[in-house]
Amino acid sequence: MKAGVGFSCAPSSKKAGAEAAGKACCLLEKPVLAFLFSTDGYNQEDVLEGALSETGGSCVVGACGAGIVTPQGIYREGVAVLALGGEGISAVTALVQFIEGDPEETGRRLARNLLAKAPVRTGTVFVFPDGLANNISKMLCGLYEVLGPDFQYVGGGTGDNLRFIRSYQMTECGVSSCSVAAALVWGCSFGIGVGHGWRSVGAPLIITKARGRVLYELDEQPAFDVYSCRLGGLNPQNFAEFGAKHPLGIADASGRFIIRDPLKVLPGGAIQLVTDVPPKAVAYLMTAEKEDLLRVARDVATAALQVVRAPGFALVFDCVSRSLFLGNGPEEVAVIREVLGSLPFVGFLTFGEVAPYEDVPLFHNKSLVITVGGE
Amino acid sequence: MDVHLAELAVLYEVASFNFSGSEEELFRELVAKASRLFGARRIALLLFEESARPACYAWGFPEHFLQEQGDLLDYIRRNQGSPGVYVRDLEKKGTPGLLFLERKREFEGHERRLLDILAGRVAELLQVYFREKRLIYLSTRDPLTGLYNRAYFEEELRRLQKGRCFPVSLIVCDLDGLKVANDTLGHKRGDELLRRAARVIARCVRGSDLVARVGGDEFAVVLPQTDRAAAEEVARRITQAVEEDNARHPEIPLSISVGTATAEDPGRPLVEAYKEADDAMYRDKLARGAEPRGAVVRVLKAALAERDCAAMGHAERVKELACALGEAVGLSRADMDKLRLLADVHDIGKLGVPEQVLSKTSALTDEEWEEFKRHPEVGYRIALSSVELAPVAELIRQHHEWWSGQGYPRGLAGEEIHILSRILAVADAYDAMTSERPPGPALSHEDALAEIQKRAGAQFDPQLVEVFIRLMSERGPACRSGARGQPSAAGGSGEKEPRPWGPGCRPESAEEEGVDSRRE
Repeated sequence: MKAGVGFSCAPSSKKAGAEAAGKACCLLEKPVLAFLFSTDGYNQEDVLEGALSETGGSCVVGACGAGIVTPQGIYREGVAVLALGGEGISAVTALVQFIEGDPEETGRRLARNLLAKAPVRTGTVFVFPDGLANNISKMLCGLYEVLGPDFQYVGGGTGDNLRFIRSYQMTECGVSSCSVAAALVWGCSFGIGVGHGWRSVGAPLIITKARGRVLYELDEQPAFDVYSCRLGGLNPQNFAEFGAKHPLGIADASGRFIIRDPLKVLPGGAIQLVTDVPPKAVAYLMTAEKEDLLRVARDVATAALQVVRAPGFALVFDCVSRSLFLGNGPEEVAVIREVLGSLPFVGFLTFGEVAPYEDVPLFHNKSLVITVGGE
Repeated sequence: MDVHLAELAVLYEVASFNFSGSEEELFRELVAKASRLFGARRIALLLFEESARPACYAWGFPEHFLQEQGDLLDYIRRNQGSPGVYVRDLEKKGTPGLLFLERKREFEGHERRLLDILAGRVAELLQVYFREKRLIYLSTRDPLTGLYNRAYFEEELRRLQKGRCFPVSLIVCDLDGLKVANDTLGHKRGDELLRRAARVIARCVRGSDLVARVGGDEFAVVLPQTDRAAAEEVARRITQAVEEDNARHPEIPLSISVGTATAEDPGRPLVEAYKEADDAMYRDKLARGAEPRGAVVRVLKAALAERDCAAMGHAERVKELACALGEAVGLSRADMDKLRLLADVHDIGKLGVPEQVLSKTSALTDEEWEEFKRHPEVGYRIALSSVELAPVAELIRQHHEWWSGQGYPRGLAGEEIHILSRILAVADAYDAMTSERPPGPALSHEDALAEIQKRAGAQFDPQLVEVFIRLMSERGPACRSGARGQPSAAGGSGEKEPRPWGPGCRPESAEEEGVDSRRE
């Protein structure tokens, strides 16, 4: 198995795509799959066209994010490609538009499209849903319904430069929005690590009313009133700052939290979250220090690495809000690099992360997902 | 997080688990909770409610997996007891079903406790759901046919009146002869006819149409967004489907009168269109005239054949003889029509005679004979209950009266007895005498005529007997088909005593009184 990475921050979209892909593919005889990560300052069609000019007809799966993760650090603008090839490795891709009001069917359709091209029983599915879409958890539920537990699932929500307007997903067939791009890879082992580093503070909060990404009530009160009260009184104007520092955590039976990231206050005191939240659940206010997040970055990278006997590369899906929380500093990448050593890796800053705690893919916020591929 | 705090949080989620809607929705909610809270990678819910085959809801079982592993229930049973498997029989909580969860890692003690609570909650919710579903079903459906009931039909008309589904067409279907079927074949068979009619009608419409049983024997079909031509095509399909169904069930054929109407726009009340369709259905019934009567007769014949196997073909032969006699005495066309119907149904009163009496091969006891003699009266009442048969009700009652006044049930004499009943009595007697019926063989044609001649002026109208004997002498023995009742070719039978005719035998004492010609 061989992997190559390339990065470009050339101002021309096509050139950036071609440069990054050219570097990634130059050592590969015949790439099987290229992961293409871009930022929203580029024209995505041109980025893809540039990349395709270098990938030699291989499959491409891509996502636009809020930044590019490379071993050298995080870039707010740029294009990164990780190309994969070698004996025994195979891949197919699919790009499916979100079906209005039926996210589960979107997931099922995506799975069927992948299986139609590759009737395999096992493999790893890289999923890149539009991070601005509703009910991504349900989409993953539908995807899993068709593919089942014999596949691994990993990926991240696509995003923009925090303008929350539009994000892009792509495969070798084209660029889309409000869609899910996916690649199914087999003939290669993957280890997956996921973690966040947030811990609960204070008494539990009951989510008494929620629908999709909107949290209407906590403890039978307008959500913002309760949230604000717990933090000693907040001005809605400063909500983003507090939301970034105090997400909500929802516990599972093993005591693990899945994080939900508050985005803004809506009229009437509801809070809009980045991702859908389960109604009639118990949530905790979460807090973290920089050290917690960095510690977890080490744990996540280690967990992903230790599963694979002969690691060949890594992909990093890092929530954009972690980067903001860490002050856009290089520390997290440094920790990852420290663990992964010389292993080539790229990634992007995500709007939500896809990874399982057990076997089932979950959609996380404010988390770090690393997958290490190898033999 | 401390596992006990997590347990409390999950406990709240599990205890507040709820859903509104379908079983599918409940399962989706269950999957969302069980996969997120417990990391379950395979989830199944099997419900054994109201069906021999369980309703299976499964998640995490790809298509190929079940093809290889076999039946889902088998898979669950094989894996029950594994550390990473949780199975709960929901029956203990009042819902016949099974909940299955599987994950790679072992379920810990506190997780199993929580899953017990989740399973209990699922069972409770399903119990309430099924109860509500049943209530809704009962309040909107006709329990016999499974079609919507009148209340739902009327509600649907009100809803459609306000909607944008015009043109709306209505078809009214009426099952002919249901009352007779109920009275003669019994309500069980009448119910079967209704169910058959319901199936036939429902098969002819789209899934978006509504079929309701709006009365005892009346069905209505609501066809949204259907113009008059399309509705008439559906009505034609129904008529054709009835014929096809009758070919499969010739023993009791269906007869359905059909009427259609269309409301082109919301300006026309749908109740008015319904009334028009109902009127059209009645016109169809009248236009087809004999057909509903034919259906009634077929039903009665079928019922009688079930009860009195010995009488097989009897009515047809009597009809032939009676019509020949009727023509010979110059009956009008209307009377001939009536005579045919009378011949078809003259014995329907035997449906009220106990089966052991009808099928008895030895002499009847006094009590049995009295029971048997009720059949003209019973036949009269059955015929009166049907519009189609009412014109011959009185004739049925009189067909065992004697010219001499010694017959039954009322002892009418001479021309007090309707001529059609008198004609039928002669034909009936001849056929009974020449039929192979227990307890002895048939009389020959000649012996039967001699016996009838002997009873002219006593049992039979002498003038009719004269015509009949002349007619039969010209015609020769009545032609028969089938294995039963071949006329005796040998003249030896003419030497025998006159034999009882008709089913059963009257006791010696009754014969001596000259009440009937039945005797040992």
